[in-house]
Amino acid sequence: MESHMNRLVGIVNLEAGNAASVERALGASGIRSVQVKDEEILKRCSHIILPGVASFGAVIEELRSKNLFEPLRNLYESDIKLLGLCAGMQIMGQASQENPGVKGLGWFTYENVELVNNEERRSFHTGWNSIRVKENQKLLSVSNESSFYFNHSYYVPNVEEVPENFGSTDFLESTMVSIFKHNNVMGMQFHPEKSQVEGLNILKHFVEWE
Amino acid sequence: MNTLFRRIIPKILISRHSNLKVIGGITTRQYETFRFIGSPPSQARIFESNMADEIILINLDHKSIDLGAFVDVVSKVSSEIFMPLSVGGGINSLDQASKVFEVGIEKVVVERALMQNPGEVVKIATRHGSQSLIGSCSYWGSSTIPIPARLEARGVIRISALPARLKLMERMGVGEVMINDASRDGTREGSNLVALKTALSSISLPIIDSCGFGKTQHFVDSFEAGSSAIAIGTYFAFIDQSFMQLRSQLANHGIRVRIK
Repeated sequence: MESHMNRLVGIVNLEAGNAASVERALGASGIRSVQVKDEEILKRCSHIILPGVASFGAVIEELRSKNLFEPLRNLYESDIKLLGLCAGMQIMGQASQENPGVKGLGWFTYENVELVNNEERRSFHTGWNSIRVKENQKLLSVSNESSFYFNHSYYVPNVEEVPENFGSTDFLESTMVSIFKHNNVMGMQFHPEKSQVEGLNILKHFVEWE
Repeated sequence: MNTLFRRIIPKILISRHSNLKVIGGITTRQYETFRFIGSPPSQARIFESNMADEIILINLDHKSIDLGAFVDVVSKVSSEIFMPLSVGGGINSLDQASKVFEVGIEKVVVERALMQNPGEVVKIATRHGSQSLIGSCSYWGSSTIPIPARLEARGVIRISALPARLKLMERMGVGEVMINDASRDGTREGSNLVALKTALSSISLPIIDSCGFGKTQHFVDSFEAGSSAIAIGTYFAFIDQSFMQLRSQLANHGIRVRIK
């Protein structure tokens, strides 16, 4: 607990999101967090988590309505550590097939694509899956034996800015980015707050990231 | 084709104890209350520590546990665990489903609402997404004993009606389907593989097989036949074998389950 004393972890409060679950998951490791509802709190945080259990467009809309879109966008390459979960990771790219025309935070060049089955029908990746990481990579505590809970139907196909340091997951005919780290940013397609012990650990590691 | 891990899902069925008046977990046998097995939050914690992949919490007692009391139980269970939770029992409308989702759960389970309130079920699928909706179907699988009237009155269908019911559920927008053979419920004699194969050939949704699981071989048989998940109540309430042993044995049979 002591090591977290000088940190302030903020969870961006998106109405449709899972902020409460993330708050409880951090609490299980003795980490206190605050709900980020405005720019003033945003700027005081050392670590910011963007939870997302909604569509790409709904998350962007929520950020805009709270006047958080631009302030958050400006935190790329700052001292503040940022973590996006599920749609919270997807919005770090340019756009998504889910809501054509809606612009993301634009930190990365990727566009999110729809997950389809072999009949070209929209599919959901809902359940537990593993992550493939290269041996020499240090992505928090993730290993090839780790399993995490996923629930989404759009995905990040690749992160061109991170040619090496990322983990990927296979589902149906697709390979998706399931975790990545670049500059002051981390993204996770899965839900650590619903992934039992390994999920709680990965959140703790994020908060310990300096 | 790359697939997900096969899931093992403990079912916590709740009812109010007639003497003690407390809400507790129960096991059933052919859909009749069989035995009280303790507090739902404690059970959920145990299941989580055993790496259950998901938990299903069902209210079997809508007469004495109303939606408010049920949401209270769901909230207590949900605050104890960090894993997916699915919830059902008496949820009949979008409004009721939304009240349960607000607690922070992953999926709602509907059964009787599919027939009694189909319009509302479609609304739940539209508002919360198909991946958040499990359609449950109880059927009578025994070919020797006819379906008891008490179960028919509660919406349990004949096995011959299964394909049509499952296709209807798929059209209504449920994301996965749970099939329960009421005649095998609590018997530990093995699940109904004929019904499972019928279900798999009728629809393309993931199938949760349920009722009758008693030993490891039953899980192997069901997974090998093609179920995506297995939901069990009695099995985990009355066995000496641990969840981790079951999982290792399944892995040894070449079934993709989480072992770490």
